[in-house]
Amino acid sequence: MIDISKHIPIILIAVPILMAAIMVFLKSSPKLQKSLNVFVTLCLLALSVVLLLRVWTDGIIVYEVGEWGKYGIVLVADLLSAGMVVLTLFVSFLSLVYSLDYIEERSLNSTYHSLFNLLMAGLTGSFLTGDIFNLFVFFEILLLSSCGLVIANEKGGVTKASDKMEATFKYLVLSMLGSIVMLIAISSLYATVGTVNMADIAVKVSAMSAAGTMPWHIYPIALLFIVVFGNKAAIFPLHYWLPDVHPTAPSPISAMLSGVLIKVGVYGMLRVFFLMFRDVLPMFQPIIILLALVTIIIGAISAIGQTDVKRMLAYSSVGQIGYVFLGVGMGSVYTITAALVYLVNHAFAKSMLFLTSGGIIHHAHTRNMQKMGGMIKSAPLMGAMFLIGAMSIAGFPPMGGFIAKFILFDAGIEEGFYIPIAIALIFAVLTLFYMFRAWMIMFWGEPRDFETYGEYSSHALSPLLTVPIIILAIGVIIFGVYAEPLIALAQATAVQIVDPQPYIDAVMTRVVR
Amino acid sequence: MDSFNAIALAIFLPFIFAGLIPLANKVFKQYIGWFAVAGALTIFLLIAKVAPIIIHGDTVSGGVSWLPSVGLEFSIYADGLSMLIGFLASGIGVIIMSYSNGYMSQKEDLPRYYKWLLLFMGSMIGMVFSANTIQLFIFWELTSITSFMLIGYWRNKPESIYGATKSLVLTASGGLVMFAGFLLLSSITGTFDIPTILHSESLISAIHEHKFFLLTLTLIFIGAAAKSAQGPFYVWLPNAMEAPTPVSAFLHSATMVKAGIYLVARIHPIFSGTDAWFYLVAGTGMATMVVAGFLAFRQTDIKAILAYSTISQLGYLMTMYGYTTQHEPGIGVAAATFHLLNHATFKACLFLVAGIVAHEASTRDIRKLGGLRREMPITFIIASIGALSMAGIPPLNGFLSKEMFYESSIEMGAAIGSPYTILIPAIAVLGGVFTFAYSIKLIDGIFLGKRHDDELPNHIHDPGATMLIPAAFLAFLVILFGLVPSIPVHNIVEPTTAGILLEHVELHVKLWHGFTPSLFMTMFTFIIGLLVYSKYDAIATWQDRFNERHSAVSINYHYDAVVNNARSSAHKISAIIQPGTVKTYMSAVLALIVVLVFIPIVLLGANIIPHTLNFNFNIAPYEILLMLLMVIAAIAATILPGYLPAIIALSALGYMVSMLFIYLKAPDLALTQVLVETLSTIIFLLAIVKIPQKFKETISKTTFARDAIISVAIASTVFIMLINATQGIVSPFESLSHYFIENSLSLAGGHNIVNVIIVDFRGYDTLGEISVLCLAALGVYNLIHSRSEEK
Repeated sequence: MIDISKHIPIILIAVPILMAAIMVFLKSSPKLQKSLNVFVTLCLLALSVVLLLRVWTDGIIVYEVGEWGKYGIVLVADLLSAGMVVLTLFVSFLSLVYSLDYIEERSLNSTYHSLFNLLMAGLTGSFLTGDIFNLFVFFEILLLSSCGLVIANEKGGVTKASDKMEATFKYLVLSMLGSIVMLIAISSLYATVGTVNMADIAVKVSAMSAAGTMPWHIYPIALLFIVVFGNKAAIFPLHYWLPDVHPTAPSPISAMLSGVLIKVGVYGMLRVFFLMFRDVLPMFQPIIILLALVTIIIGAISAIGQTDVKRMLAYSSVGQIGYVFLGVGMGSVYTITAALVYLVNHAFAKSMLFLTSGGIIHHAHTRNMQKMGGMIKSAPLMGAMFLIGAMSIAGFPPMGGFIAKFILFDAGIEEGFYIPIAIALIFAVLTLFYMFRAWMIMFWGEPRDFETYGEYSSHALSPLLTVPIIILAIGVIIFGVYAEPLIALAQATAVQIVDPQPYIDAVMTRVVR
Repeated sequence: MDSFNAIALAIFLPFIFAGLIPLANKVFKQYIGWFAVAGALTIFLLIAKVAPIIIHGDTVSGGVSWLPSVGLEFSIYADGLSMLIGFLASGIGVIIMSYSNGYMSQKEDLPRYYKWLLLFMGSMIGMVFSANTIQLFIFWELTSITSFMLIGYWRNKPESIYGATKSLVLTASGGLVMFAGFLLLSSITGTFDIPTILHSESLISAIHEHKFFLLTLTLIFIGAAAKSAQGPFYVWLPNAMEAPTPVSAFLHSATMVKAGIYLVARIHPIFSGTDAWFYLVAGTGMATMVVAGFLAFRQTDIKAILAYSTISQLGYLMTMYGYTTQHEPGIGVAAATFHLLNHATFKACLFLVAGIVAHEASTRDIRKLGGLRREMPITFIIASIGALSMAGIPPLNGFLSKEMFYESSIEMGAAIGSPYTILIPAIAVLGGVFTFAYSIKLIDGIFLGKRHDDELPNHIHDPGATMLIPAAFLAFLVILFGLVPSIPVHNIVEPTTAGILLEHVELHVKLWHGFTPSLFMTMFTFIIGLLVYSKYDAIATWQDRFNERHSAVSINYHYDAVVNNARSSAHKISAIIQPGTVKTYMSAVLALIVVLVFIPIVLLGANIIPHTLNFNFNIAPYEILLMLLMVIAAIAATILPGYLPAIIALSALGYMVSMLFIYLKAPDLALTQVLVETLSTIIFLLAIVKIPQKFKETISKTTFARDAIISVAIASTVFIMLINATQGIVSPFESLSHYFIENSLSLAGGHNIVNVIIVDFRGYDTLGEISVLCLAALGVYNLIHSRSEEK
């Protein structure tokens, strides 16, 4: 009997890949497909929590795929990666449950489950790998699986297939560009230090730095990773694909993309710059702070200009990821704690908002907010849920988003970044404005002209749609009222990020055959 | 139950009551309002239970662990100041909710109404008893959102939505600014805890000497001013009158708008005694007092008169709290505190009367009202008490506190010296004149004069007891506080003033205090006030003309311009930033790559760039030829017009790359490349059959030049990177391949190293790549599948 608990890292990646294959063969029995997928995802979520707890108590866990040590591929679960995996699987599970009733039947039965599983595998694999080339491989999985899911059909679809194709095309082109840059960076790095293991790279880069033999091109190589991860995270000027892709995707997929997928970029930056290229940090930080601020500004202003509810949420994601990067860029333990808390809160609130937007579309059969109005009477639950999410994104107490903004601003001021925090604050006001205005346009006022736009749907939303939203809403409120566990976890994670020695030791002390 | 628990309970009970409303609604049905009243009364009693301790001169404080990671407790601090506002919030709450039982029709959504009222009350009480700035801010913003919900109570009316938006935008963003001030304060002092700062002289002097003193004070004050509708922020309050009248009485005159005043009083010991405090707080207060007083005089809607009057009265309070000198930091504190209490009583009373009048006469327009004294005698008496108190007529409580206001103004003027000796009392009197004038107008316009029969319903009468008693009770307090000032002064004003000044305070307030200068000022105020009122028509014509000519003077004009155009102008900006073509986006990405590579070159300078790049690659002549051909093929692929030639050029490039691999002794790689190239050429050719064969896009010269520059820049950037990177592995490191060469046979049992790497050493990567291929297949299947569905 194999001790499962020792193999959790690989299980979290391999099982979804296996499930993807199984789902193809179960095409003809949709019920089995649904229940099996939900069950397995729930198990994976439980396993990921076990993994996080074990990392919390026993320290960093290194898992070798094939016992080749740094010469092969290692999976590393530290607090950051294990925490991100838990977050991923949590949002995935809820999005999956939501999908069961939201995605159009034929799309759902044929490929949706497989693609969804591969998306999960891509995410867990990206977070858990300790190998920079392997990260590239999983980025490809992420890219293609998300493309496949964006074009999945939703019931009573309000998004034209041609829009989806256009968005996917832009996404593919820009992401391939990112992939090429990543390949150039990785191969240049390999040609310079002779390894692709992240911990090993870290050791070698700091050794070169100490010996004074560091070639100058390490700096541009490192900075190129800003393009790679910035592209995933959609920071300016790499954000252009996001406002097209996130709104056209079916709502549960929008929730996955905005809630989790863009966070891969944040994760990557933390990994690459704080582990591998610590010497480049002084150069990286001002660049990323600057880009973060521009991202915040562009995201907020663009969000104000939208009439499509999902497009507004997408631009809001652009702006909000800027706040996360602001915390990353300021670079102290406290600011990174803040960035992580912000990240988690945004993941909850934004996936919740996208799921809610699905419910709103279900109700109003349009994404155009100007064709809605007065829905508080006909869809009170969606109204309440959207308000909770909007308050959190706007940083309104008692929602989680407030705690996130509070810690971020406090950390920034403590570190003396007065001007960036001032800018961030001004645009927080704009966030408040567009979020509440959107809510009022949709839910207050007189109901729309029914003769022109048709009646609101009288179908009650099924529990498969409402329960995931409510669970996320409860999370948003809990993170606002009692955030201590989250902050403590984020703080411990930030300590590990800022001092990567335990990570390096854990990987490098493996005995190689 | 000890005092700490009592206060904690008083904070949380309203939230619990609000949560119970849906349940209680099933039991109480149309009497749900009395359930809310019971809740408010419980909270009032809880605070009253703690009151003796505070009146005795002690404070209640304590905390429980909340967010230790950021050094934050849930903590409570109760002194006279918080007790006063706590009493107002719960006491007026009881009165308002009782009144609402008569005012709100049974057809209204009562559970929602009372739920938000209770939530507001809890937020207000939570705010005043908060001992740290963050907790204070949380409850502060909660009062903003509950106020937003109550202003927008009739959520289908555009006016309600407008008013709610305005109040939220101004108060909540003011709150965020204040929050920044709080964070600066904590970065200076190292603590969020307010009492710690209040009781530490070293911290206070550290704040005074800090370079951010003025900034911190200004930021916090902006929040307070936005909440209390001071200075330019006043514009939200008149529009907030879209709320049901009891809400206006409760939130927008008696309690929530006092939050800013509360905050100013709370931070008084920290910042007062400085010029900045005087100019900022008293200056804003005086300007608001006079301007809003004038505007109130000119309104026609009785609720609007009361709204502007509230703004003006809040200006009084700001002014008095702003009176400060270095030796005597709190000149106007006692007067302000007393007036705060008095204003809450007479203004809430007047709002309730306004509600009664609107309820019975179906209009709030003062031009249509008039002569109601006979039909509504009780209402008339109550209203007169309230209005006369506001006007400052003895023996009502408004007279007392206005006297104190004049006294402190004289003292403040004398303390600074000429020309302020005259100026400050003069401004105070001017404020008083307008107050007197609009108070008289209120009574005259509604109850005296002739009845406009054509505008009013035939039968108007006093309302039922549910609505009369709350108003009458407030009128009773107005008289009581006026006749026996020692009751409020000893029990409330003294402890509050002590709480603000942090010292023992004894006050002597008497109705008759001799022929003092302030009494002469009061008499002067009455005379001028009557004069101004008699010239109402002339003033009105002048003002209408002024408004017509100078519409840009109005703050509302600018607010509307910004908010109404926000969407369209933001849309224009985002359309510029995000034009929609992939090519622009790619250019942006490529430009970023170039910049990121050149930043280190610029920053690090030439000194670190190796001068000894090894260009000696031993290139054979046929390799040069091959590369030249590749360059030609690449250029051809970009410039050839038409898909077919471009694709052929592209595949030629690919095949030449595989030839290069052969020369570099990598046959398996070359083989793979040939396969990939063949396949992609076939797919390309299959695809172009379906699409038009000519490029439709015509490229202008500037675009071409731009694209060429970007292409050359990115190509040279990558070239520079790679030429450096291929200088070999930095010693003493060595490539992984040594390990693979040594161990592929012994450990993995394979002769072909590449194969062993693919299936064994890095077999996991291969699994991923296989998944990618399957994914592509699934994605394409999905695409075809969904397309066939559409047809």
